[in-house]
Amino acid sequence: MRRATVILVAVLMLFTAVLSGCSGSSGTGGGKLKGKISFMDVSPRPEREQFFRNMITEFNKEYPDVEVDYQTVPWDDAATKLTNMAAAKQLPDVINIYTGWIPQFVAAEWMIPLDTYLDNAGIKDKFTAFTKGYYWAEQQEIYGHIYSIPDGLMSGGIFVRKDWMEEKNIELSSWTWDDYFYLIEALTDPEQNRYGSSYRGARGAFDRIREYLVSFTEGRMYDDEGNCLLYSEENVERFIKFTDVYMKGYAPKDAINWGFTEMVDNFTGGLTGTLNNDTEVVAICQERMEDSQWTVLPLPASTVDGKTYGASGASYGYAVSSFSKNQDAAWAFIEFLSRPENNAEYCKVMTLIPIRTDVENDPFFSEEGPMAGFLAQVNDPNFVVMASYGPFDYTDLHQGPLHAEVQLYLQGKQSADETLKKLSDELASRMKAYLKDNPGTIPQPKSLVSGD
Amino acid sequence: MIEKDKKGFPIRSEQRKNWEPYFFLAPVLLSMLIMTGYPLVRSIVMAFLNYKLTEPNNIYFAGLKNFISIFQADPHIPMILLNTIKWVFISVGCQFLLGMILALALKKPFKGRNLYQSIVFLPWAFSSFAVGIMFRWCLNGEYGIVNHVLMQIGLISEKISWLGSSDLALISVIMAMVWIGVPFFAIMYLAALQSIPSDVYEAATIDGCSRIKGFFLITIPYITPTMITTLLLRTIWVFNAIEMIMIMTGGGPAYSSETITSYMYTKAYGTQDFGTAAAMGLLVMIVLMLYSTIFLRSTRYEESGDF
Repeated sequence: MRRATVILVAVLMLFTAVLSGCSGSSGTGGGKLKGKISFMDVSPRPEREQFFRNMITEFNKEYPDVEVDYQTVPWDDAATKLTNMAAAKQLPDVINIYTGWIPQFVAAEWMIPLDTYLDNAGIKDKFTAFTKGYYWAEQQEIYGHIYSIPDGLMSGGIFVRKDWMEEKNIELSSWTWDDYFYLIEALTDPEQNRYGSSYRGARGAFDRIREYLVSFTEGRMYDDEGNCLLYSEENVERFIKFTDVYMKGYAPKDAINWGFTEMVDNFTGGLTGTLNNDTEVVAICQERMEDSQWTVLPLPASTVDGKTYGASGASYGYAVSSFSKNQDAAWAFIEFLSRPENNAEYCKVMTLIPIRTDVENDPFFSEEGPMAGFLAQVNDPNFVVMASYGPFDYTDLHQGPLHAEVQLYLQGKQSADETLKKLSDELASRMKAYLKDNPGTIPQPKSLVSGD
Repeated sequence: MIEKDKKGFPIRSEQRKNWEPYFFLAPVLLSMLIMTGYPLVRSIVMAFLNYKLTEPNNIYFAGLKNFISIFQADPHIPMILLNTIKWVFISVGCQFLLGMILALALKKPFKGRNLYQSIVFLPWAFSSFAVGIMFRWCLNGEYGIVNHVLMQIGLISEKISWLGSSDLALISVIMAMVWIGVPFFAIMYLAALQSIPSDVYEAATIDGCSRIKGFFLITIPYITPTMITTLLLRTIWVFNAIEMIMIMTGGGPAYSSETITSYMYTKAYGTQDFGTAAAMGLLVMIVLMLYSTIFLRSTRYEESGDF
């Protein structure tokens, strides 16, 4: 009798263990998950907030015992806030992570690898070539694991005042960087208080300059020894050419302080004629402007090899905090947000390119839809995603010196040569220091189509 | 047996008497220790550490490295120190002068004085954030009211980029700071002026004292304690004020409107370098303590009478 009881208890324990194992990390455990998780959105705006609140309601139909606390932080404060929260081990369970923060978060072990969750869910193959061949491939190459699920693909483009071009009878037979500079000059009209460019002078200023400079280095940032390729005699001239957009008065003087908000507001408000920005601005233009007023052109092609070099990647990613006490529920929420129908809706709201193959036939993302220009660009074999700044932590550089040094040049406080040399030297020194411990990690330009 | 006094109450032992004040002060001392003492000690310790939030696994004792890096490795520090001096002296100086003029103008009663007084004292009630946003709009190079008015009256022919020029950015923020700070001086000086007995002035007039002489020989000595206190307090407040700078210019362009305290904030929350920021904070604290001591001694505050 006693032996039978022991056997019965052992069988029951085994059965329980098997059951709990099934409901663990697959993310399909439905109502079995319990508890509270927090999610921080780093780019809040009304439509986005509405989307996430709706998603949480839908998520709770499937997971009624998981409470999702939706938190927001304005984009300008997001990096600081998340870093401070992480230092205090108070990160939200689900982090909305920007690609540039990944090196810092991985090095600090603030995120957990998602490989096992992805494998168990069996959805890896349902993601687009961009996600598998570029976004995840890069994370696996550098960090050995997948740390985040992209929310959508965005790519840069040049937003242009179509009506101004028509007024001035401007027709472009080609679209290289030289054409771009010509267009900016042609659209500038002091009498009508019109400027050709929504010039970025504050945080992110050097990102735009870099886009132009790497079109002369085949998209590369460093040579094999880690020397920065941005600094050269010729590139100093090109730096001057790019910044002449501001120096020659094709942008308002106040633009030296402009970040994302001011650039977009002044473009949609009718002060500037061109805006170099990402897919997400499509939604803002649709809301604030008439269709006849604007259009989007791809990023200009290199005058050297005709290829287009630019930044393209995930708008943000979803990651699970290593401090989360409810990692399974956090993953379940990420998996839910990444489902085809939810991802499609998100991408429509945010005007991004979906990351699931299952939604590529949606008319919104077809050749006739508003995303057509961007889709054509990312599917163009001649489009190359330029190499990143590096796999090292460069948050501090991005928060200050990268734009402040350029501002010093724009204010006539230092020469173009000095500016470019300082920035290149700093980047090179960080890349070399990283290479010492991590040989063979020089970031390389990649094609989204081939993944090479 | 418990010893009792004449009325029959037990006499407290000497030991208990000695502890009593501390017992009653304990809650305040404890909260001060937690709210002020701990952060102070922590920031002093942090000033000697390599403490970057982005490198939580690389925190170590760095000796004087943070202090050395402030003065040797950072090329912007001389300009930022100069900015700080301009920021404090011009802001406080203008606030003091304008506040004094305003107080003198409001000293004598006139019709509608109360209404006028409430209007001119209003800026002090506004939040710095709201004032910063308001000035940022007023000084906008393209749409700002300031450029519009100056162009309308023919003072300028081209739009001025107030916040986009490294020569004007700091002075623009100082303008906003002066606007918000004048009422503080005016309120304090008006109260002090109204407390001067009128018969002192009457006696002086009978003795042939002119108004200017009366101002320097009667008014100023009477309000000296108020002046010392307000100048001391306001200097410390202005020195530490960063909200107007952060809202209007963010310290830019190219650090041109950065002061040592706003730069400290940028270092701490922009680059996450809490070690260097704490070192700056420690230096600022020492400077302010020295300033307070020297200021109070040089103005002979102890001898200047009651406030």
